[in-house]
Amino acid sequence: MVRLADLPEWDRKNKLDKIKELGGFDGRPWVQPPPLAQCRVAIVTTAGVHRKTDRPFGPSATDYRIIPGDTKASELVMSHQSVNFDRTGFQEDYNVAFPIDRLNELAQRKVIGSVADLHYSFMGATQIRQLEAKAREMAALLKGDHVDAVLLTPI
Amino acid sequence: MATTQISLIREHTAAINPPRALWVPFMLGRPFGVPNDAAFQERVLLAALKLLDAPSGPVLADYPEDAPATPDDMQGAACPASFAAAKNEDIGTAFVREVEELRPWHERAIERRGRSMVGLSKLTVAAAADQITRFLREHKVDSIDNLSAGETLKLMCEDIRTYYYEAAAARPGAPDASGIQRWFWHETAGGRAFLALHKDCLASTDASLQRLCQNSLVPRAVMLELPK
Repeated sequence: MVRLADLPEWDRKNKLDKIKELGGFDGRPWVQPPPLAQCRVAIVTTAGVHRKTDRPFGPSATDYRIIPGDTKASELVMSHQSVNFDRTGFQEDYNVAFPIDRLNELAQRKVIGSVADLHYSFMGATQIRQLEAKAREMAALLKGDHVDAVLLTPI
Repeated sequence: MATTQISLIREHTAAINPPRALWVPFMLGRPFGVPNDAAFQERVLLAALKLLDAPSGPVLADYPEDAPATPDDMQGAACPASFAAAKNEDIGTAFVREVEELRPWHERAIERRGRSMVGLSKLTVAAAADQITRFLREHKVDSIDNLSAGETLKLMCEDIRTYYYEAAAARPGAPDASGIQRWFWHETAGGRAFLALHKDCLASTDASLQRLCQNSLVPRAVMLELPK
């Protein structure tokens, strides 16, 4: 669990201290996507996940890695800089952080329209505002893939 | 385009105030709750996707289902390898020996999962352990792809830790996430080698090594458990 009330005092303080870095995002465009059964969906994660052949994320990395939807499980690795979260779940089953199999199953059952060809991964242990340039670049690529909706997943 | 997201720390998401978010009561590292439970993961995923149907926002919804409790019980269980003699050895020697002793368990992990997440450094785990041992003795490491010493050691440490964790999870009656972490940091020569590396990095004037020991080597929870 990550209920702050349940955390040790040092951990609760650490997480509360981060709040001051997170305010001030005033632009909040509301986009209404097509009905879910028609939506083309992509995953964007900050888990620092990528293919073994990709360059690992370095400290304070602000760029992204591309994860093709047909990437094999044996090709996925994680080079997140933080050691302060569980990795055993991802090692056991990548879907616990990057639910590409679940998304494909929903598409096969026509619960969603389709799954994007490409998904994207950032490394979240960095200054959030430093990600903007690459996030805008990625947004253009998602539009090029005709994506209607993006599932953002943390780690 | 529209976005929906998982939130692991509700207070952070409330501060950012994105259009649509689903707070989930799961541990950091597991935004979809439970490994190897497709039905559970799908419920979480669908709850997040269904926020796309909301007619107005921002929406910050709470997911109602906790992840099932797991037995937090590494203590008293058989370890993947016996390290009884390790305490009388040099850390580096014990570390390299331990890596070799864990090999059958790691091979079992690969057989079971069909894959391993080791592979960031492109070195064998034995070679990575040799490099870390060398660093502890000589404060030198062979750079990978012209990376700094800190970045090179980070990749090696990630591979080694993944190797230990995957091996630990392969044994019968494997412990949960916190049990594996406790085992690694408190009962293995690998954990002791990492702590020695942390100490050396702290004392170094190399900025890349300083950065490595800030948040990228030893978890904060482990640091707080260490004797002052």
